[in-house]
Amino acid sequence: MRIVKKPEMGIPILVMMSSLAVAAGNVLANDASNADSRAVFNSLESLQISCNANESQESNRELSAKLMNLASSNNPLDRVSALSQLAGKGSVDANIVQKILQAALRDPDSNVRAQAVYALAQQNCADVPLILEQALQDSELSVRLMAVDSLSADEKGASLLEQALSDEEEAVRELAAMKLETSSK
Amino acid sequence: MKFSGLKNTVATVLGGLMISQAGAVLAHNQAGSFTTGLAAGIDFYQVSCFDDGAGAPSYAEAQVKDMTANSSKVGIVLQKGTTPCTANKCAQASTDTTDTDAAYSPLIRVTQGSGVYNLFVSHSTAGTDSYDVQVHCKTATNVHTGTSVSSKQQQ
Repeated sequence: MRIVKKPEMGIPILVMMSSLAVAAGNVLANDASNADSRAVFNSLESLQISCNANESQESNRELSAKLMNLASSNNPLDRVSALSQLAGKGSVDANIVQKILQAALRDPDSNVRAQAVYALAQQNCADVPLILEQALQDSELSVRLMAVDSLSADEKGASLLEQALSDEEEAVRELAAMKLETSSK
Repeated sequence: MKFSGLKNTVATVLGGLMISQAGAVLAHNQAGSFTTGLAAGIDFYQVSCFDDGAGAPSYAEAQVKDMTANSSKVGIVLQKGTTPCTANKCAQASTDTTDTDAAYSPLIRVTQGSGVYNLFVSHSTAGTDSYDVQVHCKTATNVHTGTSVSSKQQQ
């Protein structure tokens, strides 16, 4: 476990690295009797996030409550909808943003986790590059694609995009190559 | 490609038959997603417009909602080209450019009568986009008539 302390946040952010997460038993396997089953690894399950309020915006209580309700739904489509609206950078209370994103990163549905990665990258949250790096280790294509999509063209982002060029899935490699090409122009 | 329901089977979409005081509203929704993630992925549906008793079809109209917020945007092309396309266009396109809301893309209309319309769904770059297409066949007086959707290709 690595402890990252952000002085401006005043809140220690605990980041359990992927190797420890694996050791802690976060490799989930489907029913062994299912021949098609494969290991599912949620690389984001043990991350603790911290998001700051956007001081330039006053939070919209109605929108915050609506998104909280959607995010609590039993229907994964509703949860994805909450996160996609969150990605739109609406004026949502920072505490609610953090609660929704934290729960979504642990969601059993990979599409929800993927949308959480993108939404998190759009918000004023700490350690986004580190979280995206973790997301690139996820077993689910949708999560890794969203991580690549969310990477910026700065030095760290470019390094992770280079790393994604060797992903096992063509779609991830394709998106990483496109982003690198775009950033080099 | 994940198809909500049975893959490559005819989906006579009669979801959401709602009768209210305002009258009958028929909703024909086709949900899908590009699970390969590849930018080249194209989902292909055929929409059959037929007279179900409400009247002879004059046109098909469609719009799409991109349900995944990311850089990739989902768009549709509705096409039918069995007659010369001089008076009426044989194809129209529409893209949902804002994927962080619940709104659909602009409604497009292709006026080519009864028969089979091609509906192509694509996305602008790699990503696992999910989408929902609304499609209706209507008469010349804008009355909803027979509509069925068949999935032909899922990528």
